[in-house]
Amino acid sequence: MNDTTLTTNNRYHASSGIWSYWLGMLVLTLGLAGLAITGEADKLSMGTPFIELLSYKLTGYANVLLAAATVVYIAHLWFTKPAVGKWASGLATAGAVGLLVALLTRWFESHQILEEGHVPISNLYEVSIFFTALTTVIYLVLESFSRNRHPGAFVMPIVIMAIVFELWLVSKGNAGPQNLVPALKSYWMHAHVLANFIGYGAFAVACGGGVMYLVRHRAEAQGRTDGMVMRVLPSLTEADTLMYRAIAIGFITFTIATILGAAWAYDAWGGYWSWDPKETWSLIVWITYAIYLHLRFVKGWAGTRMAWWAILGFGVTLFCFIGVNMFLSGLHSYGQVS
Amino acid sequence: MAIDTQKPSHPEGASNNVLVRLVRLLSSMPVAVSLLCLVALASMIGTILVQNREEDFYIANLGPTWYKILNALDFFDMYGSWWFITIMGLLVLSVSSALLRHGPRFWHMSRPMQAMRPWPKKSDGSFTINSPLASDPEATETLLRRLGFSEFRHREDHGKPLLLARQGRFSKFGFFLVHGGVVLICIGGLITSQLGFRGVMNLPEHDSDNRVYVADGNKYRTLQLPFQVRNDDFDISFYKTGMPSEYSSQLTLHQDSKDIVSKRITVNDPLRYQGITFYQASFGDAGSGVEFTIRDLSEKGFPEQKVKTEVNKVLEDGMGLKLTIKELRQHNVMNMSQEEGKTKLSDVGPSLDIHLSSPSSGNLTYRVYMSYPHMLAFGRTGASEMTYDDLGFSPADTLRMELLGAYLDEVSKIEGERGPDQNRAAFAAAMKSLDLPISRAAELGPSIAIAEQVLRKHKLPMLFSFTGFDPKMYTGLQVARDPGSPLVWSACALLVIGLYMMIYMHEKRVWIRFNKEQQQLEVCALLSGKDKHPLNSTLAHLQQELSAPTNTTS
Ligand code: HEM
Repeated sequence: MNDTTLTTNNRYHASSGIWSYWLGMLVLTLGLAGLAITGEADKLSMGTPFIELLSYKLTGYANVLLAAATVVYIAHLWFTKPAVGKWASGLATAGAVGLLVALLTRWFESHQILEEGHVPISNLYEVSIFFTALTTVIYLVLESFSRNRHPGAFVMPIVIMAIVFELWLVSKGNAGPQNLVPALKSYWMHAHVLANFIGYGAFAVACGGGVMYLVRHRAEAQGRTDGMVMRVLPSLTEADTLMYRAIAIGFITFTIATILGAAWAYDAWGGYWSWDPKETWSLIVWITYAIYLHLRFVKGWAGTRMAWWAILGFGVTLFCFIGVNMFLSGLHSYGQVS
Repeated sequence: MAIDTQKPSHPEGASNNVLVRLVRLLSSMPVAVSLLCLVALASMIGTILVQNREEDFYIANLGPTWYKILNALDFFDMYGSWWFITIMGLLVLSVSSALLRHGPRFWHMSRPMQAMRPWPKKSDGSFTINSPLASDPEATETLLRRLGFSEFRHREDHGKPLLLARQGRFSKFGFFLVHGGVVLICIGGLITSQLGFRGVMNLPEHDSDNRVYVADGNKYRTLQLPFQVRNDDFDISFYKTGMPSEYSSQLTLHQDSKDIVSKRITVNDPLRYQGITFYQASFGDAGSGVEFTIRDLSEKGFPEQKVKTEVNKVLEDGMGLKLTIKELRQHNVMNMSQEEGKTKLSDVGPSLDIHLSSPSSGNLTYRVYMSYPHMLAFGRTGASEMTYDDLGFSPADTLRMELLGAYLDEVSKIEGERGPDQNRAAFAAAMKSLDLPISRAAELGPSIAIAEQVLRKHKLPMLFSFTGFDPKMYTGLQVARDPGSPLVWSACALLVIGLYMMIYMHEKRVWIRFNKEQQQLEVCALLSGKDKHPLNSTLAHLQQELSAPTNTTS
């Protein structure tokens, strides 16, 4: 490293501003949820149909905002004016806040329309919404530090995939709040699902980083020095760093999630590990990213190979999240698609 | 003065010692990564190939040849197979070797700074800046302390003060915690699998037992607990949808007639005693008493027979007819809404499933509703859904059943054309044969006519009516002894803390030479870490702080 890279950098001083911005968003989310809940409070009764719920409508609007954000993020690749990027971030932020408000509202609704309410991360539809919101938020927080809005065009399509999956669940009639089977009534379970989805969201962001890396790498290999790709994509180092950071956060939360899941299984089924397909696939996901960290830390691998690994890792993660429920059966029956 | 280099302080030369070479091989990255891949691939097999089912299942699905091959290789109980255990064992050996090999080096690095280290020949960054701190090593130390540095050494170097500061002394400790954690988790699992057990115990209410059934592949072996377990009470509550919402059992452990402990266990809240844990896992019917009546439609006059038996019993008449009492349900929730898309749930009460098999009519399952005796619900073998119909009156309605029987008898005597007139005549004859006044024809006629059509349509050999029951449930307990679990949980905590340390704690060392005359600082840094990005900004930040320190008191 030489002295010229050490230009004065305001990042440290900016970070407190960024965190207060996100704190503000949190307060806004809670406030809006409070409004939504008081507004809907006397309109609900036992058995109100799912599609009449405010949370369902809010989810719909929020998904539209996220889809719009995706379009604007992609447009931003060509229309590089900062204003376009700001619109994209704004729409995505509004969408994420909307989804979180919808989830909080749904939490309240479940207490009104079911005999026993529950935290809204108990079935596949709810966790998909949660995944959508978290991936967007994790990305936006990283974006607010890097000030580079172009990666959004690569991360948001993953969010869109999750939304399509949600719509599919709705069409199959698997989306309404449902009573919980006794085994799911556990604090361990809520903490477990929460941590798991922070992990999944982070791995999704890493996958977006990997795709950007490969696209840019190809362009550079072709000797391009100008053009859309070179103009908008983060440098190879930046994309690599994004991947690494997302995987580091994801790996820790995923490790915690797996341990919480084991603690839950220990109380519910009498064993912390029973090689049930979902458990086994979490282990496979864990090993995939453990290998990533070793290759990077010890072998110093970076670049193309690691980008492919981040993408492959997310494929394995997706299978663990959705594939297992669809193709394999096990104790985790709450996620079953009928 | 100690010589400091970035190289390990115990350089690894070639060695002829077999053990040393083995440790190096096992802890090498290619071996470690291959083993991790192998564990991932192997565990995948067990999620695709259903485990621990009965032989027939596999033969039916895979054919006898594949069954033999895969069975010989333990593929149907693969997580307990010798080869899977071997792979896991190798993984543990590999991690342990890494600990042995790198441990001393990392231990050495985590000791306090022994002495001043000389200005490094090669660094991760160096700069010279003008600074108000150039004449004040003490104030610089205060500043660095605020930036997270914790160890300091001061010295004179060529007449100028020299300061060495370090932070992240324990960053390499994460390596011990993570890899040690992995090893301990595996050891915990091994302890549990060798010294522990996990089995099931189904206890009817008020029964007491000490036998636990432990799965052994696809078979069971029994294990005797040193005390008895009694189920004092089993309780279950339902949602309005009929799904169980919670179930619980009052368990008492006792020895002879002396009670030891007692607790109401629910799902997610087990009873633990002397290392043995009792989990509420399931429930089922332990042979509830049921009463019902049978109408034999194949005999003249539809004779009635009253039966009192238990769930799971099989009744045979010696001529090939077999009735199996399948399932008693106390709640049946159905959607009674007439409108499309709306739901209006309502509990139609208890039902009993009776399976009938006879040479003449094949296999049939009836679902008999206690509160709706006129409802017919039955499924033929192979049909995925039940057929529902309405007889109009209960099979226990002796008057109408006998009349229906007599009427069918008369109808069967009709020769030639059968029309409304013949029907009426047959009905009158049937009324007469039972000594019923013809004045009741208007009341009984229509229901008999409908019932006749229903019976003709479905050709059922028998009808049932469900008259009473006395539920007797068993509680399904999962019983486990898990001596490895405390070790596993502690190791998990170590693993998480260690991961945090490995990823976010970095060792940083900074040398600063104070050049008082020119009001300058010469700075040089050594950083360790995986993510060079934040380290770059650390240096930038350092440079900024040293050239224009922000006021500490503000
Ligand atoms: C086959 C088993 C394993 C072996 C042989 C092994 C070996 C090693 C070795 C030799 C290092 C390099 C230490 C260094 O020089 O800095 C390392 C680093 C690391 N290992 Fe493992 N490891 C294994 C499994 C795991 C697992 C399952 C994890 C999961 C969390 C893990 C996490 C890490 C991390 C995060 C590092 C970075 C350490 C650093 O350089 O500061 N390892 N491992």
